Amino acid sequence: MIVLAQQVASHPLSPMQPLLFYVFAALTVGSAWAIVLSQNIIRMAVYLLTTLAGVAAIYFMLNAEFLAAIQLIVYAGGTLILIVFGVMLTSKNPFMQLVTSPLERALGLFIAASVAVMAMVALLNSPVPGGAAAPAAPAGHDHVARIGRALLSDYLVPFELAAVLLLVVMVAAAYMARRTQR
Amino acid sequence: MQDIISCLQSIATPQLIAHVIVIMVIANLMLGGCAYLILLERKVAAWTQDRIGPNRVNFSFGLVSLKSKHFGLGQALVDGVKLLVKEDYDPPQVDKILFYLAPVFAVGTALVGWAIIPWGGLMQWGDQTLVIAAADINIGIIYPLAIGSLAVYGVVVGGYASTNKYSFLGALRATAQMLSYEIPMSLCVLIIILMSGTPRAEDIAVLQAAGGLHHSWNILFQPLLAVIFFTCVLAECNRAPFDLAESEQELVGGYHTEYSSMKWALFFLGEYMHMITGSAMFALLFLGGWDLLPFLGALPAVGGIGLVLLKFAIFAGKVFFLLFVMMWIRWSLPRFRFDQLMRLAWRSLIPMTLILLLASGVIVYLRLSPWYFLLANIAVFVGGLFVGPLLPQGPPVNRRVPLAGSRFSPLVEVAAKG
Repeated sequence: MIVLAQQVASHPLSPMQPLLFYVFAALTVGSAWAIVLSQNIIRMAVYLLTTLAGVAAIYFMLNAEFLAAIQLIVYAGGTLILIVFGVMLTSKNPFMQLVTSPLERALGLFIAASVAVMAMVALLNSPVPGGAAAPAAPAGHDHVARIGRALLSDYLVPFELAAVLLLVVMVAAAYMARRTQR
Repeated sequence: MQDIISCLQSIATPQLIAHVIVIMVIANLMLGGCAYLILLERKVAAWTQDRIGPNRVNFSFGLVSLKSKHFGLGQALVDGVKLLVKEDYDPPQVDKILFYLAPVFAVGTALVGWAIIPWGGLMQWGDQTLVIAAADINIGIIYPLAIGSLAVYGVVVGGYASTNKYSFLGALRATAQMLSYEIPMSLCVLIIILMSGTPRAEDIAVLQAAGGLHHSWNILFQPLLAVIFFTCVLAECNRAPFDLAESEQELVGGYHTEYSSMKWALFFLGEYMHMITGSAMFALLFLGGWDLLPFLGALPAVGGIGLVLLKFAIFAGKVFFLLFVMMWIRWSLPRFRFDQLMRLAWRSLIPMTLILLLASGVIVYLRLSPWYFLLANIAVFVGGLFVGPLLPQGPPVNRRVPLAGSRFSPLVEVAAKG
């Protein structure tokens, strides 16, 4: 049994894993496609949620569990805010249809094409040879402790700067939302 | 064929088989248990209100004649059949895609949320130690928080897609409520991770079960934190007194007004499964998980199948007790008003947990005895009692509107003066 367990550990790609990868990749790409095609802002937000959840599932499969959980907590929570914004900014009618003009369509196509070219160039120049799957992090790694140590030693200054930035944003939000004196 | 067999052999480690067995047992127990929790809820409601409650449906179902009524235990099955065969009506104005997606969010998140709960502790199998949980994830108790942040979408999306103003109000209330109560809940989990030194669910249970004066149930060290966490669990499960998203007296049914039949039942299945997961989290974080009695260290951390079953029984007993407490609270306390709900989260729970986090960090850093946590809890509670009245008051609610014909009618005052 130990030998078998070691085999599995040394060979993390069980036959289920490519199948699951394709399922989650299809979910991610399909819902991203649906965001672009949809005309209703709340539906877009919900499709964005499934896209983010699909990416989180792929993180789980790569054993990057902490990253996956943070992806769900931060980005899924962010989508909730997006829904609230979508409702508030279209306060007259939240069921409004968004119509894109031809100019916006051309502009969007141009930006999408340039991002796609950039991504392809980056992929083809990446150190992982032949487009092979990136190596998964070894299971049973203590990611939380390692990430915490890295944040408070090597990346202390950016970490603290981000914290200060968030504090400034929070104070500003509280100031803007304060009750006006009458 | 040979390849497939050898491949299967390499995957099917004892640990994986243990995971699969736990998933099959717990998922089925939860699905069946939810039907009976609804029956229990109705019984508890009846006892609270001095009624008898559902007691007529026995297991004969009209097929055979039985004398005994079996305490109405057949009710849960009959209710299930009723919900399945009821007409599944979609109101014509709804947003079809999202209307169908919302129950999926509600049940899908509930079905995966309990994955890390270590129901049976650790098991010795040959020379391996198996974790008796549905999944052994090394981020442990952070995982239910991540799933919990997805669970709100069932309510929000369902309320939006119904195209009904009551549903929509329910959805917006749920949004604000979930965003607010997620913060103190995460902070509570963070404090437990801080004092345990690990986010792994199994290690937290083992640490509390170790016995002795310095390792005991966390509720003894952090009673205030336990109360805060339980409050947040109630709010996250949309349970009374925090069920403002559905509040049937104001919003008809809130987010599920337009839902009927099995789609409605899926929302309720999700709610009850979230209750079970929340209770299990509370039992794990504060009541020592599978530990029998505090201070004794009565049960060893690793053992055979008998010990696993015993631990599971203890864990399930604690979860059942907490579920009963939730129902007890629901039928005893009136619903909060929305401004009270928001003020509770932002002006008391979040500041108190933040101060507790700071205090716990100092205590852990100085390696003091865990009883200093209790001291910090008492200090924060007493401090809150003194500081609370000094804080600036919120805007006045329940203003007396002088309206003719009302309790505060101006005519009455005039008449009294004259």
